[in-house]
Amino acid sequence: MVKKLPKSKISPETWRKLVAFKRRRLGFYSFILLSVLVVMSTGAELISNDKPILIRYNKEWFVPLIKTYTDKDLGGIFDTEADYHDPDTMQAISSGENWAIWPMNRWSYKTINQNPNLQHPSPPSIYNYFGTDDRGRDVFARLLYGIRVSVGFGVAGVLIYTLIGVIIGAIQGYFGGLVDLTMQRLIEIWDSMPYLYMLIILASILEPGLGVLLILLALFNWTRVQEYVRVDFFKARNLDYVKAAKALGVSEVGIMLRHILPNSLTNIIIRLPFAVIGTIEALVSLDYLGFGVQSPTPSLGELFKQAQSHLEAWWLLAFTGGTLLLLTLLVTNIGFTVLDTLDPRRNT
Amino acid sequence: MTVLHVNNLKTWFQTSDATAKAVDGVSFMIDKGKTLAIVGESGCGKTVLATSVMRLFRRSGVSHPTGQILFRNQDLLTFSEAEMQAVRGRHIAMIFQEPMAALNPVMKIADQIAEPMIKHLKASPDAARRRALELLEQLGVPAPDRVMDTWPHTLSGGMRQRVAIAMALSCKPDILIADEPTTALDVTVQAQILRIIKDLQKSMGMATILITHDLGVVNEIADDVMVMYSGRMIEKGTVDKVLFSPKHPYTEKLIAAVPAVDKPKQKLAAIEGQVQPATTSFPGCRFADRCEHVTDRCRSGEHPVIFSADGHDVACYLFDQSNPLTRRRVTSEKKTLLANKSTPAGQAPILEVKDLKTWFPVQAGILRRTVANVKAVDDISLTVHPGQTLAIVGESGCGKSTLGQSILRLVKATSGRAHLNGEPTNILEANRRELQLMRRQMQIIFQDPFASLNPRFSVREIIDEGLQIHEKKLSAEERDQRISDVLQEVGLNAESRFRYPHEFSGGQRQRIAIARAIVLRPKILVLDEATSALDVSIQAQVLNLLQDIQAKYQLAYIFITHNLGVVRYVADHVAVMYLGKILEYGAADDILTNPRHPYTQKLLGSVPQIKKGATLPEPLMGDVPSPMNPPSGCQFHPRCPLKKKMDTTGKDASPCAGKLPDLKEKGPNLIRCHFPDDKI
Repeated sequence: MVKKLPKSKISPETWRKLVAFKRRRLGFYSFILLSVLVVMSTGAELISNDKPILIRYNKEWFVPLIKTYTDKDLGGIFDTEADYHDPDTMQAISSGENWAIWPMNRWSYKTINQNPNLQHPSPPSIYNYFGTDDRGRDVFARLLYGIRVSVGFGVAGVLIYTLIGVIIGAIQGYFGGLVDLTMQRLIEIWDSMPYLYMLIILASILEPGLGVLLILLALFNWTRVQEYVRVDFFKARNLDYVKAAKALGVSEVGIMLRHILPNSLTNIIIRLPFAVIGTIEALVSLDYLGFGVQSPTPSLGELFKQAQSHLEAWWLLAFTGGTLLLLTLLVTNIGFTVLDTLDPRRNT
Repeated sequence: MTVLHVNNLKTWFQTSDATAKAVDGVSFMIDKGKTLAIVGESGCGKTVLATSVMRLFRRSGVSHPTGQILFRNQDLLTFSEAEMQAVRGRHIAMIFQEPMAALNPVMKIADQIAEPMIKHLKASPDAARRRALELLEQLGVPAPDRVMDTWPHTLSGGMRQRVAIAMALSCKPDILIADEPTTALDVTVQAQILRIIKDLQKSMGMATILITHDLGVVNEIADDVMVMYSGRMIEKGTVDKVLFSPKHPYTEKLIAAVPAVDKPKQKLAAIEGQVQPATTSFPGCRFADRCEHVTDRCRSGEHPVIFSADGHDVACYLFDQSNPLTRRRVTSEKKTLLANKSTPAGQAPILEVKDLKTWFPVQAGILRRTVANVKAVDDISLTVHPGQTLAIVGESGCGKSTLGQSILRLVKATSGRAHLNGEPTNILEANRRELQLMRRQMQIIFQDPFASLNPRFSVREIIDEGLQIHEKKLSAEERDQRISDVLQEVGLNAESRFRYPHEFSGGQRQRIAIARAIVLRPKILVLDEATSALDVSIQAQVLNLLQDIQAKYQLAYIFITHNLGVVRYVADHVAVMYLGKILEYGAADDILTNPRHPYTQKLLGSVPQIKKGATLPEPLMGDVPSPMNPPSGCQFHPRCPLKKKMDTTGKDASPCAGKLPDLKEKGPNLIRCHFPDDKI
């Protein structure tokens, strides 16, 4: 009796790849850990904030995370927003029948530790787990929010330019000839334009912001991917299994997507982790030039800049560098594991 | 005088989870001036054995638990790397299978040949150069002084192999190890190279170890034969004894599986199954699983010891004098003679090709003007009938593969017509929709089973792809059923559809490729050297399978090959191609028994055969000329033995170089020659 094809939306081959991924511990746990980090930084407001998540005050519910309450609402005297770090406010919301649920870290990325006894940047303490930066802001909070900005920027940037690079490289390599020749000459002209000058010129025309930076970055980086994809497709288009697919009547897009691309993934995926890190660093250098994210938006680049000007504050460099190192390791592990999993020669 | 004595040699490789016993206790001796052939299927340890003798393995992972390699009574296994370097190339030299990869592409020919002489013999560069020139002349390289200063990429495969031989012979070694030296070459070039090796060996008194899977080659140049199986020697003796009165069942089968030009058209005796990987360990005789005479005794204890009688050694209990096993009576294997399929009168051809031309433009200059055309396929007309096989034969570079791919529209034809089933659509210019209909009816199998399957697809996905395109109405379950059925039809387990190509051997992969093609129920299958990369035993299995499938579905085959032995076995019609043109075209029986064109005659004569007293044929000299710059008139005339004979006898052969002869009827065949009545 021949075993039947399992009736499931997921094909047996895909299922097998998922199982193989899970079996590779290093990559699998890296994936879990990175997911945790991403979830944490996405919900950073719940983990690190200068206001409580929920307050029970005078038998009424307050949700400072979502709504803005004035000082008066919580028994104070000012009409401005309540300052939950103010000892009076703290007293008010935690005495008697009143209570408040605080986030794990009681600082937002822009809250300044007003303690007059501290000289900023201040070293790690039970109040600021990772210390403070030169303006008295909590480093843990800034890292957590910074991951969101930097990693989000890095991943989005790399995905966009990889996609452009793969599409253009694939077209060039697969069709070759005049198509390739013409496009390659245009790309060479494009590539020879000085990136930073272009950026400075464009920045004076456009409103600087993360979106604009993302587009600029993609426009000037996709050729790195295109080079490899082009060569891979050029080599693959004459392979026997590609010809066999052609003889079966598979469309050209089908051949490119199903037959050639999976076999040239190695070159693309191997570069992804480093590309993400490279993009984060690109943002650091843009910050430097004043075209990056604007204060007080937290970013890893901004923290690095501080670490450089405050070499005596080891915690700035250690925690920022450590975060970047951890991210690199996780992304690299996942990248290699994905490569391994997709290659049937390594998991059967 | 014994120059090399290998004694109970074992070569094991330690991998992370297993020990591969590639060579597992082999002994042999070889005398000065003699040729020992080592034969066996792929994976039997032939190359590992030769490489062990040269000590070419990296030290890590390889071990020799027992054994001695005695060269002039010194054990090479005890030599240091520096001492070995003084032996390699000086005393023991090696030629490899792939002449394309054996030469360094950035070194001139002269420097490559001179290098070992300068290193080992401390020859001056001038002297080394002179000797290199001498060697090339001896090896029959035309214009050797010009060749000396060229780079390897400008030479043909045969010329490169000659250069590799010159390098190996430059220091007059005592032992030459030739690892499949002619496997990658055309039969005509193979005949030239074998002759050279034989002549030089005689004049230099070298001992030669020839590793090959081609028993015809063994018959023609070896003195002794050793048959290997799964890392063990199973039979050894003189060529006469082993090839003409083989003892071991494996040897018998191996010989029977060779398709030969003069064997009647019949089912080939294939050896079922395949060589086990070197990591498997099992009791008893390693061949037991594939043997017809197997008994309980074969399956226990150690691999049988060697029983010898008058210089003929065999490792099989059938020959244990003290307690001989009786040969099991095998139900007398019926040699299924295959009927020649004659074309019933009035049967319409399935494919008709008319005046097909595929020219590749040669462009030059900044403006990329077309300055010339490589006429890969030039004015070819063919007819193929349902259920029949048309073989297209010729040396490499004759355009046979381009022809097949042009018909399938994998290469764009320049002009010409091709009609399927008498339909008016010219498939060479069909539009997208017509092309899709045609794709379903014509499929292709490629030579290299390792390159023709996408490594990232499971077998199911590979076969499913065509069904998804052409059988859109089928549900997933129905498609899966078709896939299981077709796998069983090609002799594979239906469960294997969830496995990946790398888990299969070459022969099994070729079956998967066949399944991918026939699952669409095509009418025509183009077999582009489909069995050339396989071992003879596996080739026989695949050929038999192809025959069965053809009979079952009335499939028409276009069988592209350079192996004329196979042609005899499969073809109903034959077209002989040379430089893009057909030289002879007709019924297979007729062409193979009574070839008329001098080229066909030479091609047939070059096939090494297992026949008593067979000697090396007079080879067809020279290489296929460059199609960029083909000779004038009849393109074959510079190599034509008939023209040479006419020149010497004073007959007028001027039309040969002057005018291209037409393809004219001659008897039942078509032949392109000015002098169809003259004999060589």
